[in-house]
Amino acid sequence: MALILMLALPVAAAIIMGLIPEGSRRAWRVVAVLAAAAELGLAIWLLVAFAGKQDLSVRFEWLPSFQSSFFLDLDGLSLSLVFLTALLTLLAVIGSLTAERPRERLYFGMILVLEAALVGVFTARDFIPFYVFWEAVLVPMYFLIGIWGSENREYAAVKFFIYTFVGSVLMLLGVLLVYFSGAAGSFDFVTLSHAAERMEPAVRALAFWLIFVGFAVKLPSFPFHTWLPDAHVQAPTAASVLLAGVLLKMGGYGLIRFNLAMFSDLVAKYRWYLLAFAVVSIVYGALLAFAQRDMKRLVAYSSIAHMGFVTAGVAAANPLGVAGAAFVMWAHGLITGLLFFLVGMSYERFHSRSMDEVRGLAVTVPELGWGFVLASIASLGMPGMAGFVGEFMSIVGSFGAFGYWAAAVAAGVLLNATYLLKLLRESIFSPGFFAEGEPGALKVPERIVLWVLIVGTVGTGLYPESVMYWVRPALAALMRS
Amino acid sequence: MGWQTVTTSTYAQYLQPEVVALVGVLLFLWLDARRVKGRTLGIVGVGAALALLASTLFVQPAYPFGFDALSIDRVTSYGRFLVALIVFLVSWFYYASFRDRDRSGLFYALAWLSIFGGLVLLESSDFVILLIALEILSLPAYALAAFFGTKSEVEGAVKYFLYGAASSALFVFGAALIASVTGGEFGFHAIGQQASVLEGIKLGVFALGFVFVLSAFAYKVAFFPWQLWAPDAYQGVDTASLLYLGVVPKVAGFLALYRFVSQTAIPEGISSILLVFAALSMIIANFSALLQNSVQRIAAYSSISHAGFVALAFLLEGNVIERVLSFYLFAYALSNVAFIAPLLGFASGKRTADGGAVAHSIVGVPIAALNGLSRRSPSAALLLALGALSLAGVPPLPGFFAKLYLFASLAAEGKVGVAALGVAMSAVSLGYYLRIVRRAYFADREHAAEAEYDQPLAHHLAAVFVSLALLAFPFYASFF
Repeated sequence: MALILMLALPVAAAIIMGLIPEGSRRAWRVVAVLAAAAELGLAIWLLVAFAGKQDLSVRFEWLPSFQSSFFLDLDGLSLSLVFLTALLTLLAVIGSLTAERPRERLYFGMILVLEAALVGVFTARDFIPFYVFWEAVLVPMYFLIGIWGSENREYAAVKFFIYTFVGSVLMLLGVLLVYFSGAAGSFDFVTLSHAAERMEPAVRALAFWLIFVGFAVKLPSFPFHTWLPDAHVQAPTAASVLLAGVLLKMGGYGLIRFNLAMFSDLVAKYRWYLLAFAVVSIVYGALLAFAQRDMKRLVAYSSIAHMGFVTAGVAAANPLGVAGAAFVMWAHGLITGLLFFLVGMSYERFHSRSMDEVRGLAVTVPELGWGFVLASIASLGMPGMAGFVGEFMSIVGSFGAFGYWAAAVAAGVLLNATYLLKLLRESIFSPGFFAEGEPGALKVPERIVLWVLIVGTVGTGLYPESVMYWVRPALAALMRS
Repeated sequence: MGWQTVTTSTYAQYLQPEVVALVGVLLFLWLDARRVKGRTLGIVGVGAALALLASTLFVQPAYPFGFDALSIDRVTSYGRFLVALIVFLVSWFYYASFRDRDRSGLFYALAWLSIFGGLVLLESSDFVILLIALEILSLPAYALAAFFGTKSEVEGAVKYFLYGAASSALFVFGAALIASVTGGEFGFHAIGQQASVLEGIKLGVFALGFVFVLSAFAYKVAFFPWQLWAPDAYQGVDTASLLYLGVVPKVAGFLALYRFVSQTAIPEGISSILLVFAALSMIIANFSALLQNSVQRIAAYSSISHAGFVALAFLLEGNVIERVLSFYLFAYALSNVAFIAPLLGFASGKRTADGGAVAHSIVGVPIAALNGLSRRSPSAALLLALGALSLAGVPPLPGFFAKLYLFASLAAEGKVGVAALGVAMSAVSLGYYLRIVRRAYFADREHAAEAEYDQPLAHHLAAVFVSLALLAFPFYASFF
């Protein structure tokens, strides 16, 4: 029932916020912070219960006409992402406290509803509830971008919605193919994966690619990435953090849980194509990032490159590669979350995201500047930080599967360094800064966000087993099936 | 199918909803004669709707019942319930939205006469009864469409009437053709039995008659190629009338069509015509809707495209049709009420202070009038957004589950191409549904045209109620 509570708590908090009368900004904020904190508390409790081998699964008869039940369960992979969701949502709420914005009740409500939907995605074990949560994620994110985004927000919101909706629908078609042509009889993940084995080879390949495209849009992988720069750049900081930190992980999660677990032989068969998707994403994403003058765009494009390592790890389909993919998801959630927060903080002070205007941060706002330094070196894969571990495993895994062709994946690390060092040179350590008035030092909520993410990045980087301990058995089980 | 001897008590037992509806008509006529207006009338309207709803809930026949002309089975019971539910919601919104001086007993009486027709339509299994029911459903509806008498409204109503009259003519012609080859039979059962042994030219005549009858239904539900009246009529008529006209006749029409099709039999070859027309309905409507600037016109094209979706259900086989149809019509009706009802708040701007005709230049609610609706009226904006998203098929709203069920059933029978087309069209429809949501939530109030939004407390409550009904769908989805 703890899982039901995880789903119900944020929604209940959003409803309570709706009942608090207009104009009580403080009360809304208290409710939002408390709810997000309680959700993180629940996630920690789940961690403990899971370690104690408790059965956390929940199953209700739900839609008889679909032979679908409302089935939730946890494994290590889900757990790591649920934890990431709860952590980043709390930080997103805390990080939003520094500025006042119109219609705050709706804003926090949307963030909490988004959290519930994400938890649902990562815990569902039946395809119909999975798909419902998957699509339900779009709605609050659409509003977050469309109402509180920057200048071009309406365009970005609609593009985000329609693009990812179409992607999901392709995924749905793929799964329906599995269901019908494999005569699954129910939408339970286990049943579906048995059904996938019974399919005609040609239909099976079609289903595989439909499902792959659905997840590749979300990830996003080249050439399905064009919604991402618009959405990330126009979204308000908290939404960018959740978008990059958690929503992209839905794609990687899907690749592992569907493509890899249900079609492992096809992953092996098509691994060169998958590698091509990965390499192009890594190289092209990094080059695009290098070309940006807008800090937020740079971070947005860097996500495409980093997510390429997830695809590469999945394509390698060996324990090391897949573990690398899972770790990249975790690390990228923390590090890119941090980067988006930092860009947001500097935007609040300088009202610009351009590297031509935000300069010399190391001097003007030292904490912010050094935050950027830490985040950048974490992101470019400095050993000892979380960014290194996952990408290293993904590269080594790729060498195992692809031999020296994996050098193309490794080249991505170099390319990542180029744009991140450019960011440091131009905005952090550059001379000739100018600021109107005194840019304020970091406020308490900003410090909390910064330190939690830095400690998380360094902590899991120095001791990766803290994440791998949970994830490894789950991946082993998925790859066996 | 058990055949009963029909006695007066059987009527009383099985036809209670119809009796309630007729009593309703008389009641409202009496109230009109007594010049009862205002709040009382609104409350009586809601009360009558509740009585109708109760009569459909508690009077369920345990077995199919019928004689040649009427059959009361699962489809009838379900259809009655659905119609009564929609009537209840619509009455609630009427109570909430008419200003007291605009409320008229005659309006209610006409609506209830039409409801009576709809209820009879749900159990007709004979051409003659079906025709009478269709006319009882439609004639008051034409009057409702023109009720407030503005220029645009009369224009819309005349279109609605002319097309409707043509549809009746088609129906009669089709029925005559069918009867001519099935030994003069009008009952569906008898026709079904006769049709199975037809061959040669007679079969051709039968199929032709079938096409004419289908065309008549296609007019009613705005299905390609007989959809042309809908955008003008939707735009012209008053929102209050539209709320009723846009939902009840369609639900009743589709269920009656299902009875006709299931009790006779679709001749070979008609299915593929139906498929092509359903596809064209969806394609033409969805792309036309992208270009519209009035919410009512979007609602019209949306209903045409949904007629296409519903028609796809008829391509399924056996029992599945009934389940998909029941599910889809529920989702469609509820979402459509949610989509149209918020427009009632704009209606007050349409009538002048003396309650009479208005500026005929105001045609429909322009999309720009929605700007910033979420600030002016959070509940109306929420309802509108949920209605739009549900019609588009976004989870966890009922429209999503209905579409999923429809497409999955099609795919299960190997009609993957059709299902894929439907899915693609749903994606296109997002273009205009999201435009509505975007206006209501993203656009600033400052950009709003001079559109007053009037929302009494009862409208607010109704909006919250329907919103919750939409949002809570996953919790009662297992009912379907």
